[in-house]
Amino acid sequence: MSKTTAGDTEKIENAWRDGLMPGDYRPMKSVTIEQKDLRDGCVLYDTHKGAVYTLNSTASFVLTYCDGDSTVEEIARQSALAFGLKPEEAMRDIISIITFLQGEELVGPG
Amino acid sequence: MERNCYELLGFRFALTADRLFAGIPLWSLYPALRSGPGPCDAEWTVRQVRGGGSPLYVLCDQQGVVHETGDPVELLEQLEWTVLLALLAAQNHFLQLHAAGLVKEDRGLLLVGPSGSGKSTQALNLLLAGWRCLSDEIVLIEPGGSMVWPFPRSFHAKAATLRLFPELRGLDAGRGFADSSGKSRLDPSVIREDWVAQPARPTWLVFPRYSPAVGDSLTPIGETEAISMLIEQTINLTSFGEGGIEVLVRLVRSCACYRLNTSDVRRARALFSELAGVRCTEEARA
Repeated sequence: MSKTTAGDTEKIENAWRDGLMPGDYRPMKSVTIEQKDLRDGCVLYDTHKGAVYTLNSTASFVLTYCDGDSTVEEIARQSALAFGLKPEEAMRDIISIITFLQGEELVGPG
Repeated sequence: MERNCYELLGFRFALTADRLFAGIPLWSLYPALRSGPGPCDAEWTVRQVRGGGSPLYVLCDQQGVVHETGDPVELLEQLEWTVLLALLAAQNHFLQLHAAGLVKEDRGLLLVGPSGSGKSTQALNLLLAGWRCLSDEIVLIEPGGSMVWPFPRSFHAKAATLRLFPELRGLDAGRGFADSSGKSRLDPSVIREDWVAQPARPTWLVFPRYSPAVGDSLTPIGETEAISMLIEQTINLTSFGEGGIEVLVRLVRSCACYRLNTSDVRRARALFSELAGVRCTEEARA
């Protein structure tokens, strides 16, 4: 069981530096994930690993856009609009969240 | 030797021992489950096989010796643990939650939290305030309808906890077997004969925390925070998989969820009374 940890700047910097999220990266939710929505987030159940995750509303929003079509930049733009964030703030949050989701194999390349 | 039978939701078991095992009444473990004599699904026997200065106590099931020791308290802890595992295995079709369950006017309150969070203390507190009880430790959630079923056993409470309640002075409370952590087994029927609640639909999910520095408060929390804590306290989630998550999501959506910070049982009791009262008033208006 894990929770998202937004604002992990070291992870964010590493992600950019290591080129893990190039501009055309389009994350896609893993097919083994079952999502149950809540009022302020969601629960994810990984049917392959049997692991359970809870995501807050921002991470849940991001996951909705992990459809294999949207780039990280597009997701950040949508997030900035939805939550009233500055673009650079939204981008930082989104990279942190996607880095976490990737690490747990909840999303992968589209 | 005396044989007593017990039953929980169709699962019958028998405990056989000397009438008073090393001064500890064996039936202090599950007094509310006592049932009539007859065949059982499981049988356990405790007996002293060697007397004198170094007695030896033996716990057996139908297959043979389960545990032997010179310490009667250790043997009873082992017996209690063995019976608990058998009961949980027999009720594995329910989602099992590490929670105390209380009922007031057909509305269920689940106090969910790890050991030491104050579940038993608040369960005792509310029992003394007129609520009925499903359990002080484990409740059984019906996967289909989300009704919560009782798992009634003796309360486990430290002497310091019992001293918080002046109402218990003079009652035959806390005289049952005390385990190695100093927790006594208290038969709640000394407080109220009909203490075991009927299955109820949960209305409130409360996550207690003993917090002398913060003061006493009942604060609403979000569904995500609530389900995170529920997942951590679900005993058999693995065997339910995705279906178990669905049950928990339904539970969270149908309940009002709160964090209880408390350091004083009387103030906590007042907060719970207010909670139940507010709900009643809202329903009366509706």
